[in-house]
Amino acid sequence: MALTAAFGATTGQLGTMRVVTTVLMYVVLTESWTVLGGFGGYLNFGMVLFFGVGAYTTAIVSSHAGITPLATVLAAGGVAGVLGVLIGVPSLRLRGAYFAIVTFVLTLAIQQLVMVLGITNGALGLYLKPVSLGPRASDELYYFIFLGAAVVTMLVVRRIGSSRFGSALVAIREDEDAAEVLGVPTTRVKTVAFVFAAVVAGMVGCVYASQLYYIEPVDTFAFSLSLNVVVAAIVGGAQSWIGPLLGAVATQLISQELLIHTQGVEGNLVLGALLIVFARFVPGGIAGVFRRRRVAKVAV
Amino acid sequence: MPRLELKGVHKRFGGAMVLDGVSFSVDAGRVLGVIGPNGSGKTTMINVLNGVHRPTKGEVLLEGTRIDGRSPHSLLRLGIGRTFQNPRVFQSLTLLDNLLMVTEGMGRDGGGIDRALGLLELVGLAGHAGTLASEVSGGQKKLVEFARALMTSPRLVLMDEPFAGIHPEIKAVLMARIRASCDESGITYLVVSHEVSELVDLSDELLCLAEGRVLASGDPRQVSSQPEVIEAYLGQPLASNPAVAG
Repeated sequence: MALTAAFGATTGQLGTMRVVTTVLMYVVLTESWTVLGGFGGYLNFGMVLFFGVGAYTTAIVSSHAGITPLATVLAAGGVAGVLGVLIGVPSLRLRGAYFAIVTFVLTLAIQQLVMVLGITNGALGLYLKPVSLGPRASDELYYFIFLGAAVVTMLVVRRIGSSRFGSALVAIREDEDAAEVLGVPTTRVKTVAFVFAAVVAGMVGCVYASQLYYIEPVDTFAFSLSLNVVVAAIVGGAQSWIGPLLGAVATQLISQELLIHTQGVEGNLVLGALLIVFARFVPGGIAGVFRRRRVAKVAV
Repeated sequence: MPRLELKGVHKRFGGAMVLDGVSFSVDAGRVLGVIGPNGSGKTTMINVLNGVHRPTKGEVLLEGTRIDGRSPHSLLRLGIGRTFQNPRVFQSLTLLDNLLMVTEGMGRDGGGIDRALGLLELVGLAGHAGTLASEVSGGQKKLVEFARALMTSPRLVLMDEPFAGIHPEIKAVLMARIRASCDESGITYLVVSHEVSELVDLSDELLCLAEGRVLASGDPRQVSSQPEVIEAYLGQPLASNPAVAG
């Protein structure tokens, strides 16, 4: 993280800073995802749904209110959070693959809805007012926003991991029926974790829309974002706060590097292969390997 | 006032009536053993008492308060703990953390570690407090579940087949601890088991379920020797079963 941040801060190349900013954006998203997905064991394939809703909230609110897009970050998080409650309460009664399928299907449904609604300007998308800064200052602004957000999100997720709420999620992952019998209000705990990820994704969507100052449904609701988050969590290790950081940095640096030198298809293939290898042979992810080594050292 | 009372409890799954008007009561500090052939509704009854299933009809009362239809986690707060037929411990956590998860779930602060270690000591597992639950035997997992149930400070503990498939020594420990906590702390136990002889020794009262109905209840030795109970349990008339009739 420090290396990535220092890399982005000291480089004079705008392209490199943008790559690091994207990596940091994925750190934020993956950290927030891991609360339900890693601690609680519920695969959420709907991160882009809340990300997109946050982005569109920003575009609509900022243009109607005549304010700078970044000023709508709380509204974006709030709308995504309310949607998270509406989706989470019924869908989190489902378990395992059923919940994952619901989040996937809802992403497609909302994307189609955005394509036909007048307020979202359909497939043509919406323009936002860019920040009144030069290209370098603008890139630095977004870099530092995502850097700050990444640090804050990591601290929050680390705190959750060692809290009573985090323990309740671990109990749900281990055995949901037993957790319920031991006093864990499972649906409520899962919903709070889901809404946390939704709020964060909505706020990230706000910053993303502000940075791009143009959004349209296909890219803003691209399922690859949800997939990248899940892959980053699995590669890094989803059961701790450090895993999402390692996974997001590793997968995004690979992905961004391949994107520069290839057509993009190769990047997806590499990420797909990584997912299979880690899910099959390294179920604890990179963080799990380090944890095992540390335990072995202590045992010796 | 009885600790637990069931009044005409029915539970239907589709066309199958699994519990068909079950009524009984049990007082504080008593062990109620429940026997019955496979499919008689024993586990369903535990699931109804535990809030996993809502009864189709009838009432469940805990010390006079109606509790049917409440969620398992809210029933835990009212003092109903349970163990499962196949032990449901958290495999990737240590035995100590398995017990501490109760305080997490119940939102209690402080004192948890001492109490958890004390309960592990009670069931003879204090030396394994730091061992992962996945690394202990099936019988030890049953002891962990029992200790975890006691960790909830229960008024009523529901135990589903606690003696099935465990070493006789562990079985003896478990039976002794159930009896002791019942006598000393006034905890009521409802123990479902196929192991009739153990249940007769342990229980204050015995209840036999058959096809979702209470076939007999009362003194354990009398109930276990009733011809209709033996017939229901063994699936054949007493006279034609030499093992029993002889």
